[in-house]
Amino acid sequence: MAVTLAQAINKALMDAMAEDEMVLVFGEDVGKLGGVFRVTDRLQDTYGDQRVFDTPLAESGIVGTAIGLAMYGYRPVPEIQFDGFSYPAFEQVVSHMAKMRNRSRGRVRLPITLRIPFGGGIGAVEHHSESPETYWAHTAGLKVMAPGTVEDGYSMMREAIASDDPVVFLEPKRRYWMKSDCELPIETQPTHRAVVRREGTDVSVFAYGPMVRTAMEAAEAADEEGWSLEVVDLRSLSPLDTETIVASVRKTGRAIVVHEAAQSLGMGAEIAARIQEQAFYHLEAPVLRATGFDTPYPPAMLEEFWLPNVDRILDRVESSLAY
Amino acid sequence: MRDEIYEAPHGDPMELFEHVYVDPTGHYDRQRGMLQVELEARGADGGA
Repeated sequence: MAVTLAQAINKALMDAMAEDEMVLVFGEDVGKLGGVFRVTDRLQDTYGDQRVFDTPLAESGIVGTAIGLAMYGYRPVPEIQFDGFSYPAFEQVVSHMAKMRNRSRGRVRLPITLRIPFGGGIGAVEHHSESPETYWAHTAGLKVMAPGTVEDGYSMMREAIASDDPVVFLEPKRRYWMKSDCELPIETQPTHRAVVRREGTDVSVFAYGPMVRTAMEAAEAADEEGWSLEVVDLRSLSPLDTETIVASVRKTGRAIVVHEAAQSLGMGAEIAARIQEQAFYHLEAPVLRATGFDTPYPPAMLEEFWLPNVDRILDRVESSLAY
Repeated sequence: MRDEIYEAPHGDPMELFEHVYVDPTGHYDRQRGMLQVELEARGADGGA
């Protein structure tokens, strides 16, 4: 049966709420409307407006409410409607959601799953296409997940909700409508493990979220050039599965990191550092990055020039192989 | 100011690097050059 990513996440929310009455869903337009991307469709009809409810347009308040509910034993799944709207909640996430367990010396757990549709590619206006993952991955105490497949959309969401640590769950909004023939529920690999989506021998390509599909398309195009790309879906950005990353680089000797986010101090920088720390003598070329530029996310009519695409990835592959 | 923003020309991809910093660095110039190469590869002349 063909299932979209949005439907898979919706199903995960449905099933988690059925299993545990302490799971709550709230955010801007998630109730009556069912979410602007329909990810929370029918949840309020099914579980009522005491467990699925709309909030004011106040992201700091949404996260603050989630923290309070979690301290009282609930398992909140708040939604920030768009990535750029997460910045008003930054203080609540970084200073409280991430630190409460450490601050209370382990006495308080915050099993919150903070859902954030992220990234560009849908022709949206300002504040609707940001890639804030590095802010969260840089913050100790948070887990950060970014599914790149429909199956992971279900399985990783279930794992996030079951986690006793707070999770920032980044949903690749440009992929909400991608489909896969699968039966739900489904349990994929544990989230802390990266997955090799395509075996290859020449260059390792590391991607997550929306760029997994782009990396797979690049690998197919590379075949025509006679280049064998290994595509690794990172899935979890914090913790990061260094073991799988290093194993792939030891095999291929070359690495490209792909992400929509701006280049400087992005996930690519951290991954490159870990590779040179643990696989330096296996490298045949410098680790390269195919990313967004170090500029503000552009207006919709220019985003195709900003976002990494197959050509940008293949350019880095060619540079790596020519080194 | 609103009118000026709406009336400003747009659609040139090289605009991505305009008005980010008063004093752009060499790093910016390198990324700008990367985009220029991509546009030339596409056969584009800088217009969207």
